[in-house]
Amino acid sequence: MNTADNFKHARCGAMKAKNTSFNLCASVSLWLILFSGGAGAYADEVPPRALSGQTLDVPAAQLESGEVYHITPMVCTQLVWTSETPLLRVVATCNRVVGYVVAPFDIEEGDSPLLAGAWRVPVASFRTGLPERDAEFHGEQALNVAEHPEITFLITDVRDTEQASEEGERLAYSLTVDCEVTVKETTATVSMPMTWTLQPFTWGTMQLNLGDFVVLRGSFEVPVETLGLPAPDERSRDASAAMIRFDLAFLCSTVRPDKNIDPRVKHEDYYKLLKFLTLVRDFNDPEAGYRFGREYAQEIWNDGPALNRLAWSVLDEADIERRDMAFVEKVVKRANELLKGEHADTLHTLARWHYERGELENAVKFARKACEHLEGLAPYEAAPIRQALESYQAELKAREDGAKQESDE
Amino acid sequence: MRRDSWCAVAALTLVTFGSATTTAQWTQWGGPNRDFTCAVGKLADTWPDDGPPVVWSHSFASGHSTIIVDGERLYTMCRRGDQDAIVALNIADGEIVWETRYDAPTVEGMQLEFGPGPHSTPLIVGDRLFAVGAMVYFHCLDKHDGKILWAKQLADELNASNMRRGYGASPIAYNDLVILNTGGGEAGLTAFRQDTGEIAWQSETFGPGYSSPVLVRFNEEDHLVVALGPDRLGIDPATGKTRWRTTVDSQSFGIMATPLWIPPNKLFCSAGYGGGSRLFELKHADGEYTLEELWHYRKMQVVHGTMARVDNIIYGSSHGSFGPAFLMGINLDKGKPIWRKRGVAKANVLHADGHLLILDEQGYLILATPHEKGIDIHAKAKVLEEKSWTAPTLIGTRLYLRDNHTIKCLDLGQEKITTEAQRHREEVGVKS
Repeated sequence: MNTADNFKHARCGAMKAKNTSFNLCASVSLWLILFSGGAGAYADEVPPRALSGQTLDVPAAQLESGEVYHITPMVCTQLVWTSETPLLRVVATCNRVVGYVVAPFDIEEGDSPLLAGAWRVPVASFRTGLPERDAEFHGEQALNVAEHPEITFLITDVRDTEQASEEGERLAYSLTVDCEVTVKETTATVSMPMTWTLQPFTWGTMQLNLGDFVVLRGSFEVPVETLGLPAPDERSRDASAAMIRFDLAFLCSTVRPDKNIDPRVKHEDYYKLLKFLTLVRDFNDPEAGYRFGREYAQEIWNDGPALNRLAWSVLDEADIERRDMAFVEKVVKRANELLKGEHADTLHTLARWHYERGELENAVKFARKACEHLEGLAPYEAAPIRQALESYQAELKAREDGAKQESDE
Repeated sequence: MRRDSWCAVAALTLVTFGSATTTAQWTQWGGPNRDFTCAVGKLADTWPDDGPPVVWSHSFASGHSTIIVDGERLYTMCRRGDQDAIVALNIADGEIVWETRYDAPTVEGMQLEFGPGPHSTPLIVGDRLFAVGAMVYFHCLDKHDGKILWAKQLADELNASNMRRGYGASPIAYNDLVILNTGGGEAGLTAFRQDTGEIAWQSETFGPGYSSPVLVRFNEEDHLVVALGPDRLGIDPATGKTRWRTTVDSQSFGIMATPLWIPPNKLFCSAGYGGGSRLFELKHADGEYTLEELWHYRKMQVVHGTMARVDNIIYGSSHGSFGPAFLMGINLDKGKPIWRKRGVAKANVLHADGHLLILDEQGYLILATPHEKGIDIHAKAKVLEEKSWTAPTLIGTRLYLRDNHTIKCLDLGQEKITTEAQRHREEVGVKS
């Protein structure tokens, strides 16, 4: 399946080619109070991604059943895939997992702290740190990202809940979670021991994200064939693993990762910008991503600041493999035209675009112009613009000094 | 409100309460008793699809200052360029009667993405109007013509903090004094003579705060009750001396909501950003006052919205720590919510004769009836645009409200007023 329509693809996660159950629950902690598992508000399929692509559409019944904690991508290594053989260990990590878990509004004694949950993992965002291994990992013989862009998880049951610790308002539980894991349209039911830690918002936690937190951690192992992957044969078993280990660590927040807190930005525009990034970055699908980006740019063709945000995101967002500089040029120049060359942020983007093309003189020129229009910006907004000018100037000077030294020699 | 009338309110309970709320006055933040509870005329049970009838509506400059009412005039504040403006409008048609502007440039380092205010609500006492802008310029005006009687720049004179997002607490009157939060410098609170602006007293040093003070009567004494940073305080309003003080956890530092006094001796405070809601009991023994915490429920976190009490339930919009907003009712006896509801954005709540009027930040106005298990919503209509953070003002059946673009008056009365939309429906034979 191509990711061109990966938002439609969302529901495909529920397709089950085969379903195998493994109870890999390790012995649970024997701490403190024993809780019985409460009745969950489990969905029967993994909900689709929201418009932004950065969380899922939580079913109405689950919204009513409790507090929703959205998985926060990009703050930690969320998922580790380990395959171990006598000769090789391949560890792939992903920090672009999106989804949610649901907890009761108020956890009373005897309640399960986890009522429901589901998450989606964009396969293209798995990285081994080795380009050749990445290519194998994403390729047709392995996870086949072109056909199966996502792995999905759906919680189907929670049991064996025990309160593990209490430190101030931080409450930790151990529990066993049953999940349907779908890889390449093959679904396996796995049971995994997990820890569930509730951490209310503090002035300290807000550096990571806004909102109250839940931290969900667990791990499990499954044979590769249950995930639709080829089992190693006699010849390949030294280098190809029979079992896959998954380690999960999700920081989840009551604040959606696509929450827009800037009143100058329209919510719908923000969601579309995030959808664009989800495609070009999380799914590494430049064809679908820039097609959507061009459509979105047309929608905001008369909105300079929105166009500038789109251009800037291509230049600045981490983990975009293909940065389409022609796209950036078209978008940022239109933004600059609309804003009459007097908008500091847009001039800052233009400077960066020139810089990325190696045009240092122009980068300095536009960065200097940006610094002439800082009035009205908050200090935290103005600072990176000034820093960019200093950095481009320093690099230009170093280049000129180097050239002079060369000519002197 | 003058001290003598305030004491009468406290002492004579319902009779005086009735008289205070039927004089069609709303001369300060929070209404007659600063608790967002008011008497009203007979409200309509529901509204047409397009909302209650609009009596008048005008475009208006930005600001979050609420609208106060004194006789035939409305008063509020708005922002025009680098100036603050104090404005008087005609109650009948919303036309501006006078407007007094003064320079109030923003200060470097302020975080004003939600606007430069003004956030505070003016106060009327007798012929004078008192108003504070976001940059902490404090003015006393003649309410009849807007003439400036005296003015102070409290950031310069008292080192009062603008709290980076702009000063937000609303002034309160006591006898011949007007009292303000002035934290950040020397004194947490300062009382000024109403006639001259001369400083009458200054309290101890407390942090700055957005939460507006209230006056209560307990143990036959008046107490100025205020939440400043983590401190929950009772101050002698005549002298500024601290009578009682309790310090809560640092998560409640960012309190903005006005405390609610529950006679005879309970105090309800709610704070966002992890703070939560607390109920306190004020006690007096052996000549000492103490404020004892009865319960703390962390998940009701009213940020800057208003709250209202109906019997032993307090209703408010819990926005938590930037998460989704829940409209909630919390039982004061149990310290637990009786109910909570998604689908209403961060909101202000007003209690009007058994009804709740809820205006959310997206501009939806809700008419509801509270009961022991929750609320019944009778009507909901979009009446303003985005960022409707200003608490509405209700006089009789007229609701005065504004956002950053518009000021308007709606009629919530039972008597049918035919709107254009209704007329159109009737013409084309569509049932309303």
